[in-house]
Amino acid sequence: MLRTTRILPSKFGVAARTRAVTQFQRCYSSANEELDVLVIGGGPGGYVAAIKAAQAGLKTGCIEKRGSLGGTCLNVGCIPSKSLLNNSQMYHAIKTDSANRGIEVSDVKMNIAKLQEAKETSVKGLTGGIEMLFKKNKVNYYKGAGSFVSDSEVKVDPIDGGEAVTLKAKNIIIATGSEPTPFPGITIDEKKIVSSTGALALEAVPKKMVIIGGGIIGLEMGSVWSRLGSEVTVVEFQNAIGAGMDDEIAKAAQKMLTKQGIKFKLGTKVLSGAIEGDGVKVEVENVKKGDKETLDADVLLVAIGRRPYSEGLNLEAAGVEKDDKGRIIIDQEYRTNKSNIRCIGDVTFGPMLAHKAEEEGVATAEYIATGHGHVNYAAIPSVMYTHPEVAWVGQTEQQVKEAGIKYNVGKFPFAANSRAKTNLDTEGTVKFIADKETDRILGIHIIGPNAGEMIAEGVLALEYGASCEDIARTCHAHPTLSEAFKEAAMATYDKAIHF
Amino acid sequence: MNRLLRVIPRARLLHTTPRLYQASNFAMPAMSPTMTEGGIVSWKVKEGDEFSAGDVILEIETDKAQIDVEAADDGVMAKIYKKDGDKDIQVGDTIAVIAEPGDDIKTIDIPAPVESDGKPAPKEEAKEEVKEAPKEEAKAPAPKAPSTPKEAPKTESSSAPSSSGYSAPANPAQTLLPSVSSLLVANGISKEDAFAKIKATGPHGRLLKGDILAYLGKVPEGSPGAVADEINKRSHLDLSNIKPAKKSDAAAPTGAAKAGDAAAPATKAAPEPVIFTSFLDVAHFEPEDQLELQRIVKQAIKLAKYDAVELAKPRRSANVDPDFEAIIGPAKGTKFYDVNVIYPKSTKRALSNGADLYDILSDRKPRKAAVQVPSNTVQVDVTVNDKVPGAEKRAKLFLNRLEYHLTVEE
Repeated sequence: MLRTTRILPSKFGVAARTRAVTQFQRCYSSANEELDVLVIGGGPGGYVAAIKAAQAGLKTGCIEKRGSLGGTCLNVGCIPSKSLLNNSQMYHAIKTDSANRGIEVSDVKMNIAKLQEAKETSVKGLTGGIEMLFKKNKVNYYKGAGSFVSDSEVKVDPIDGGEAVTLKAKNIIIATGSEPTPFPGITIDEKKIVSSTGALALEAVPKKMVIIGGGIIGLEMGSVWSRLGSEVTVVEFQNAIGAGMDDEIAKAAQKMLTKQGIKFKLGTKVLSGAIEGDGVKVEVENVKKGDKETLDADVLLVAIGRRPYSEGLNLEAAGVEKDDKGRIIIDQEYRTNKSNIRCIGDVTFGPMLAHKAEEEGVATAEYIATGHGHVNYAAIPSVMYTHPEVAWVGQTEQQVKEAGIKYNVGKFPFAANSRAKTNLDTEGTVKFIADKETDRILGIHIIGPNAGEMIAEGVLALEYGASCEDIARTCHAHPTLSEAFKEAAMATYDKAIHF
Repeated sequence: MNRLLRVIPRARLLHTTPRLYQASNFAMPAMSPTMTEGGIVSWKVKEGDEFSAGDVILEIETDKAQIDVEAADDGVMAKIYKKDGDKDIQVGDTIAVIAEPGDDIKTIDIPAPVESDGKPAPKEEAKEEVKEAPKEEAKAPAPKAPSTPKEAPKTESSSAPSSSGYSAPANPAQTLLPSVSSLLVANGISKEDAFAKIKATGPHGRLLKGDILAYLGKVPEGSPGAVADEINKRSHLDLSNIKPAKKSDAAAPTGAAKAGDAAAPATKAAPEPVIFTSFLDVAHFEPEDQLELQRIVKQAIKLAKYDAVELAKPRRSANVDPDFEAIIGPAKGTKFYDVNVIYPKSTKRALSNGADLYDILSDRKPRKAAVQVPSNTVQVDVTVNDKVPGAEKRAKLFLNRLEYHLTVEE
């Protein structure tokens, strides 16, 4: 729509550098190829920022070198792992949990090639979808590797080997994401010693799998291959799994996953890991006792976290500063030390989550277009898609304790929820933490069926500053799992009805 | 010798290392050599809470910065004398009492608190202060003041009502939350009255249940504001404590050097080692002889090294992943710096008082060579191991703490 606004060439000359007139420059810029916004990186942060900027009427381009849009999340992260998690869970349920439901099946088999194909189909559909969205919103898509020439110019080397072009832009958004953190001394070949990328693409079920890191990635991939028959051992340096979870919920999750057959070695340090013959030998040491042990594995997954990725960007040419861990330094409006260059997502500060990057993408585009944007970091949910799922938002009990806040805790077990009972899927609890005096919700932690969907209500509650009573006084459909959510809120400020 | 003893307990107060089988006083720590007083931003533990080594037990503020104080050992918080938000506390004043893990804090001997002048403070008074302080007074202004410098001022424009905590007027355009409307009805307050009279602490001027409860006097007046502040603090990205990568990396002419690969390109000539030199006045120790001076200095070095390790520990925040730190950090036992001490050829007393009885008895002739290093000063050279990232910072921390341990006067 904004493309049809008046062109004021005379005004343009005077006020070319002010933000207010950027809309008019759209028409003009095709001549000198200067973009209003150039996004480097087409992941959840970058592509969302590009679309939002284009929707605001800014002439926008997006550079991506992977060959498909969507970044780690869509290509080798959230999306493919959810495909494997969902399908492996169906297989596992059919195999172990169908007879008692009156479903008699025989000869249930897993076809791994087909499983991977289903995953690919989902990924292709979604990444292609973003390309369509780019076309629809008139975002220029540059398939190539971007590197800074100066603080306002970026050179694009096309991945198909064409001639490099240099793009000039008034605003540049760096959204280059992250990569798996390598473990010092362990070489990843993505066949036997794999990162999350390789763990998503295994061609056969490994007999034994060792996972370094009991975080969300490790536990999700561990669940997939454990359900398909792998003997999975998770080695974690800390004394708890699920980095960042509420302690109580993390313990419950560990118990449930242990019951499913995953072994845990907590407080354990990995000393080395190397391919030996057909398998991998992993040497570990108990941190407290100092006992050493060697674990045999067919596949070793290194999932100790992710680190910011800005390789090949030539940030030096732009003069953009990083911190000592490689994160690009920003202010609260996502500006780097060069005010025309902003940065969002995993390559800068904050939790490495796709939806956090998306929020920042929208906010940055808004800052550029209107001068103000908003991301509420106190209400960013986290989800682990194991079975049962774990989801949380706000503060954990240990954080609230540490802050010295007086608080109430209310819990409701899914075992007392009618829908969970009819589903024969009753493991888990909803846990609320609220300020003792004002009843304002501080944190919500769910372990249970569909926790990932249910947490949305919690995020909304936090966003509006709701109290537990507000949730309890809001009608929830019967019979649904969400009634457990409501009852937990009741249990926090008053009493639950059904427990 | 008694001067030496005074150095150790001071350091212990910072490290919270209770070695006696009773509770020990925990003093306001000095986080820099120049710090004489400071305030408490917030306690991270409550009375009766156990903590382990490395846990942040409180955050203090000086005129320059807010700093987390970590426990070096496991323990139990037995008593807290100075509350969150207390200001102008002299370094050395007792602010809390700490017991050994597992101790029953109800039965344990509580030592008398110490004021910075070294005198025990009247016990009852201190107690009273903690217990009597009415919550509404203590809570409302306290958390607010320290939270402001943390937030970047720029973002305020977009979220002004929510981040200013308690003071926002209610937004009349809102749909009331169910808890709020039921409380208003139950207490006969009209919607219009509520908007006009009740302050809102919710996002964008939203009236919350707590606001109504506070208005009705059912909870302390400051409670909703305090909770709002605590939540608002977390609504921004934590951009505190950013350590920029070394400039040399960014400006490396090779262009291939990545941040984190701190080692300089091998082709370059070996860089000059970085040496920090400090002259420290030790006159006030009045050491009796060289040996005693050396003992004092060695003890101080030991303490300072320990302090440097503690202070270099990353601040607990969302940006710090202990796993990641453990992996990328230097291996255990890595030497960050070398320390070389040059002692004066004579002690102060020997020079200023002329012949000392000890000198005469021991047949030493100290006055001759007293010229190179000023007589009441030791020279400390700290050579930085440039192969270890962060060594320079660690060396500076060490020197800072050494200065503190050696020059602090009671």
